[in-house]
Amino acid sequence: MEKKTKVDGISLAIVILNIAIVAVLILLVTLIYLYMTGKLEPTDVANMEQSEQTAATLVTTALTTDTVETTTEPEEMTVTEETEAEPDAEETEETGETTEPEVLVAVETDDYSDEFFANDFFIGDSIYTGLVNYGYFDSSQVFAKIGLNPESVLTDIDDTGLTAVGKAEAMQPKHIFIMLGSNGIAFMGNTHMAEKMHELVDKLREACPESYIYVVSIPPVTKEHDAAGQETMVMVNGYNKLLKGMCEEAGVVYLDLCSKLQDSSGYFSADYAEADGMHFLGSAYKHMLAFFQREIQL
Amino acid sequence: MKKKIVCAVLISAMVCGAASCTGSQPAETAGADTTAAATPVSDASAADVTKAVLDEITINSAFEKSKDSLGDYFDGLDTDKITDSSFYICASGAYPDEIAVFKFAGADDAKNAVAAVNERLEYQKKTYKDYTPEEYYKLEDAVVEQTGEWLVYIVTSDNSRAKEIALGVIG
Repeated sequence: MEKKTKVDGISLAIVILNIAIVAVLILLVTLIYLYMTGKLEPTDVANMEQSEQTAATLVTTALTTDTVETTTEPEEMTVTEETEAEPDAEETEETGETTEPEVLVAVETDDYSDEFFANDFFIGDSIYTGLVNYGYFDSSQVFAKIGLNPESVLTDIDDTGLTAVGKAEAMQPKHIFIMLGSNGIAFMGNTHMAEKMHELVDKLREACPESYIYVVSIPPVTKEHDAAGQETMVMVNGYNKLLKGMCEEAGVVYLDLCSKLQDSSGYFSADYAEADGMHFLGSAYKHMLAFFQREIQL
Repeated sequence: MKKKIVCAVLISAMVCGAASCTGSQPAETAGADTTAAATPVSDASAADVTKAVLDEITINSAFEKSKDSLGDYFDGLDTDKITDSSFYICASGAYPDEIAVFKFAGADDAKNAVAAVNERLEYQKKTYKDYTPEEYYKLEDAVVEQTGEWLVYIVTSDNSRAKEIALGVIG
């Protein structure tokens, strides 16, 4: 009984303060409730959901279109990707909704399946060393070396004494992904590099007749890296254009990863770029693999 | 859009108000690790050593590799002799930075492993000399230090400090 009467001033103040805070919280909840119910019509919510579903459908449609064109007319694939917003705009007019690019980004998830790539092989430079370093793949599935370029890949050997083609031949993978050229654009001629890529493709075809070969565009560089001048977006785009032409000529699929890693200004997005402005953060590999899987499956 | 913003502001105010009631402690732990970095830890693990170094010295895109994958990076290293290890690399491949701490059953095993670590260092030097010359300084004074049953390998932007921290933790 005595304890109850010994409520000092501080304790009382704390109780009052807590009551005041709870009262404020209740007031805020009430305000939100009134605001939402009084101003927001149920149809708005329905429209928002419908808008998201429409966006998802459009993305699927766009990706399907990309794939079909990839296998038949690679020249047109990038055109479709560059103008990806067009069908969205048309749909927008029909539904009366405003297109939100953020929604499109959110719909393109970075989910991919390990199983899908279980029998695949990757050839690349320091960027592809990250596939092993980050633990995406075992080193047996990757031939990647720092500084590797479309010319040196033809002769360089790994620690088992095999060239990239030799390692692929021993593995006989389902898909082969090649991404090379970032190291050469600063000092090798783009035409020469594209010719060497053609040579690599021919050798791989001969060594792995059952494999599907995919030539991947080199990635973008950040604005800061571009400004430094050693490797620029002009160089990247110039080489990728030639690479795409080479793929058409060689009859293999060109995967435009570059556009998937660009920000709205056309530079390497900070979401995926390492501090040097050229290499990948861990998140970029996931994004890349999800893109590969989508392109191949659809 | 306007409605969403107003709601977000109100909800934020609620969350802030609720948080103030919890009486949560101010973040005092942030600086604690840095002072502990060079303090010897009795029975320190390899992970304690690398953590102490990485708390003070940054390795971009640092990623820890498991003991199973050591063979991919240290040719000839007898991993069966290693009783404890911690190995971080710059996983993006952009920089030569890496730190490895190995503990063996005895000093002889540690001594025998030095050659494999030096081979790794030479490989990295050969790779990065032309690739990114501006990063080469990290390899020039790289640390390969065997002390008792421990073997430490460090390539960072401040190798002397990293060595001081690592050996401080090992004791």
